[in-house]
Amino acid sequence: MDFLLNPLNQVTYLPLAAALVLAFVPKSFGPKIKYVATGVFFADFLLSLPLWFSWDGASSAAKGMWAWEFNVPWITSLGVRYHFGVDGVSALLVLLTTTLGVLAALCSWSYIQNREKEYYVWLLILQTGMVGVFCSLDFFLFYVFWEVMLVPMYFLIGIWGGANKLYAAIKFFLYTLAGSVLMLIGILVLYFRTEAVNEGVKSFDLDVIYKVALDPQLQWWVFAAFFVGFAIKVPMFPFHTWLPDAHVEAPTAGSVILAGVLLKMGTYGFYRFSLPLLPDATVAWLPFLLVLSIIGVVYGAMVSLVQKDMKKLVAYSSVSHLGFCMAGMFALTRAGVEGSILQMLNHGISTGGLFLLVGIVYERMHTREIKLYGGLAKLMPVYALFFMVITLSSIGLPGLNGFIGEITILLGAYHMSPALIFSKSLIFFLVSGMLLGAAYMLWLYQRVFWGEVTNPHLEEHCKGKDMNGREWAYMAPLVVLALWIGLYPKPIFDRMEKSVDFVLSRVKPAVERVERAKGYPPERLPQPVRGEGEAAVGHPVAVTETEVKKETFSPEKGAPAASAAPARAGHGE
Amino acid sequence: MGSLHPAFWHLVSPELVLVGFGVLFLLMSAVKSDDSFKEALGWLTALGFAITLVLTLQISAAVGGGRVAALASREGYASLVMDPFSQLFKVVFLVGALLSVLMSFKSLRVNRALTGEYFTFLVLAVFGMMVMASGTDLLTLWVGLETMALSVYVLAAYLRRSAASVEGAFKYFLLGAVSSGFYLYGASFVYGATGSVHLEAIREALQARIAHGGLEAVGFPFAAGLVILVVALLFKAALVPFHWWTPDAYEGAATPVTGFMSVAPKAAAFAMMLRVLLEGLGPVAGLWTGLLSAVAIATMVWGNVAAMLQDNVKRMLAYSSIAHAGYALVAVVAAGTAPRSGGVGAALFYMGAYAFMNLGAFGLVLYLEREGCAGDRLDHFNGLVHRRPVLAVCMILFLLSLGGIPPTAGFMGKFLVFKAAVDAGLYVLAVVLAVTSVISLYYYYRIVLRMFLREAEAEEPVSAGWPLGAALAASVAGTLVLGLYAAPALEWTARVVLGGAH
Repeated sequence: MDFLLNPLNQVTYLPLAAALVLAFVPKSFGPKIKYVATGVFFADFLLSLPLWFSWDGASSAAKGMWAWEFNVPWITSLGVRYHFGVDGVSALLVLLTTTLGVLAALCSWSYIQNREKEYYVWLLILQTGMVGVFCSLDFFLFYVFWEVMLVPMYFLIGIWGGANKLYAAIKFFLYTLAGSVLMLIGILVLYFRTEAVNEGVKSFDLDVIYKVALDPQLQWWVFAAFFVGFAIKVPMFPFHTWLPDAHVEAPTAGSVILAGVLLKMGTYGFYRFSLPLLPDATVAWLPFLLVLSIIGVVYGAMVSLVQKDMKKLVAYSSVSHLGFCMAGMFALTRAGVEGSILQMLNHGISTGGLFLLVGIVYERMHTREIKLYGGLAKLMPVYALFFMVITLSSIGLPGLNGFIGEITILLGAYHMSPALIFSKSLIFFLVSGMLLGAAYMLWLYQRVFWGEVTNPHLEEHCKGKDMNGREWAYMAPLVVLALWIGLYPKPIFDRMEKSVDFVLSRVKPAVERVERAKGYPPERLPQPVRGEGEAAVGHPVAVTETEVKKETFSPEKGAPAASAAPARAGHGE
Repeated sequence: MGSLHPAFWHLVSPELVLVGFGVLFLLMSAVKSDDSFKEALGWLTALGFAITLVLTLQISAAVGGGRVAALASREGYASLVMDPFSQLFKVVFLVGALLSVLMSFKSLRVNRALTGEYFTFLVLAVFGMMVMASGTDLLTLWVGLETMALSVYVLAAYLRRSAASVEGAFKYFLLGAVSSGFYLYGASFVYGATGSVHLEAIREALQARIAHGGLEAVGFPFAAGLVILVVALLFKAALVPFHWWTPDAYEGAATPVTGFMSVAPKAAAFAMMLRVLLEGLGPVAGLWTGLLSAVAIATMVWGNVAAMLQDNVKRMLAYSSIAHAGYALVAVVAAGTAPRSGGVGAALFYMGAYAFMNLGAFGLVLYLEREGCAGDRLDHFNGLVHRRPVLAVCMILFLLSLGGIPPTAGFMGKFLVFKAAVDAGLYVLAVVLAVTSVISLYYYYRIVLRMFLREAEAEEPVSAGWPLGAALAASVAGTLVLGLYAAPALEWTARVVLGGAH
């Protein structure tokens, strides 16, 4: 009974239960199934709302690290527990998942015309897998959800995908699976070390594994194993080749979920496991990771520039955006990590939105070739407006969500410890990635929307068929979210604060060791207002910190934000 | 002569029941009779396996975690023991055999090949396996091995009008006979070097010698015998490079026989291998772990790569079964390298999980079988989801399990092997296991793809009959339970100890 009362369990298993029921619904039920499925997604979204509205940083901190914890033994002889719980960051990601779930179901109503029952069943199972990944606090459980999720995605791409769907589906499956099985080796290495810290009992429980201290040599190898698993998922250059195929071939909803949620699992993995568990290895791998991230940013953007297919362009832009997220995370400063997490959400909103928008014209024109468009703004003005807002959100215009994420990441990167990286001028490339991002998105916009209508088919299929009510219904929430995060991101930063503090407190000693070894005296670095030790989980958050943040990101002070932020970012050092 | 345990007859009652049924069937099949009588024999077989299973579980409960020597030499060295290891392996054989019998009816009827001998040899084969699981001297094991092998040769050649069946069985028989010769040859070397055929005595002799002069002191004749003996065991378990008989024998044999062969005799071969290597040759693990590591890598790689190239599902499953033997072999190496790594339990669990998932997959092939067509081409799976959605979902489950995706038995099995390998520090084996598992999903997904992404054939397969349905349901249940609620099964396998792991 307790099991069902826990909101995390409810959010996780409602879709699965619904999928099992729907699987036995007779075929005569027909297309009505989409309404039921969408209703389930919406109910799941409602169930996840307490994660936002009842979030109480103070009380959850008093209880420990995790909110809404649910912890029972599962396979005792292996030390596997069924341990669910969220911190601020995973709660945000669960909310992102449930939100995008509703939108994905809505956008499928007209896109999916055959085998509808199967489609919604797989979509619901996928939802269970994704939410499960973010809620799992037992490594074994995490791994189970992580792999379970691949199966429905395979079918979504393989059955309802585009021309080259079979290749894309199996490539997606095998790539991500290959990464995750190697990750399992790393998990087991940690598992075998838990005996010493857990009264002689081995355990997969994250609370126990967090106590394990590995020597740097071993950390390096475990990090390598994790890196393969997470980097493929992110995907970091050069592991990204599955992504364009999967994104382009997937149905719209599949692309939205892939970009919005699945890619976040990689960055989440780094955040949840690699950084706090393997701090020394993180520092050792850091130059390599930063260089890969930055190559990803620039390479993804440059490849986007030359795409002829809209969806492929958006797909490659994901490589670029996720590179940004990774660069922020590995700056190992408070601003960098927080920006990285915010950018994960932003990417779900903007890129998810772009895929939805591409899907809207695809349903009308059945092509995504850019050169067949042009002058669309005349035919579909509302659509053009939505596209503009989401484009601007994607390229980081102030006032929209992308700006907050990117600027925070840049500040974080600027303030990273000089001991960690050979040259901080690498940040320059991040900025160039932003510029390229503006270039390919605006150029896309120009080619698709402006000018005269040259393609007669466009006139035939799109004239007078601007966005309908359902399309409004799934685009409007994204625009609202983009504006809200752009103008008032404080509630989101508040939620992630404690979790980020914890991760940074774990990494900090390793950073300091490197600083000492390289002869950077601590005094040389900007002094924090308060000691980092205080920031550890369980301590009340200093009021000043919150105050500073309010000042930094308040909407009224768009310009001072940039000047105030360095001081604030220094706190994380 | 040696000494019998006071409760000897009770301890070997499961085996006796099987022999009794076997002899009974042999006599009854001489009676001229119609098909329904022979089908009744099939049901009797199932009953026999069920009774044996119950008796085995009873004895297993009586033995508990201990070890009872039903038969021992005058010096007190056991020849036939009842311990958790043997009992659990017997459960695996019996479950596999029971499912195979249930799956046989339809196929035998379609092929007009319902005879009493079929069931006789099935029962005798399982009897041989049970001796292999319990035997603790090289000759008792040999008797079990030959009883099993001779019965399975006949089963493999069972479709005697089919050239493929006869050809496959003949290859199997020739190579099997040679490997049996190897076994005896190797055993004679070991006997010569250590003075005993009892595994405990061999172990003591080796320990004594190593205590005096280290690993070199075991001497060349012993080492040569060990290698020859191991080669023979590798033949029986169909491990690369001694696997050549497998695809032909599997493809040619009647499908229920193939399913049975890929599960029970393989598990028996592993039981024997574990027993001989860990209990008798445990002290010289350093001599055989390297060899077996190489074999495991070759098996995993070759089994999976070759399976990718097959268009015939039975042949694909044959190569996949080679690959799975490779995974289980990793557990054996782990058990040899680090006795506390849980390798024995992992191998045992793996064999149990494999029985459910592989027989399930073969059950699907059987389902598609119809007159004049074995239902084993990839095309036969086209569009299955439209014709029989429930079966298609079952097949996904079996294939995911074979590929090691949670939450299935196959995942738990692979995970345990993986865990044992990492615990024993066998990182290379663990990586190969991981990578080849990924490769394996490529060819399992070829079937999934046919079922879900291709248009259906017009032809409707004949109805399956409820025994096959029941067997499939049991396989699904086994695959899911061992995946989602593995705790009880793991507690049983945790009790299993062999050799020096006490």
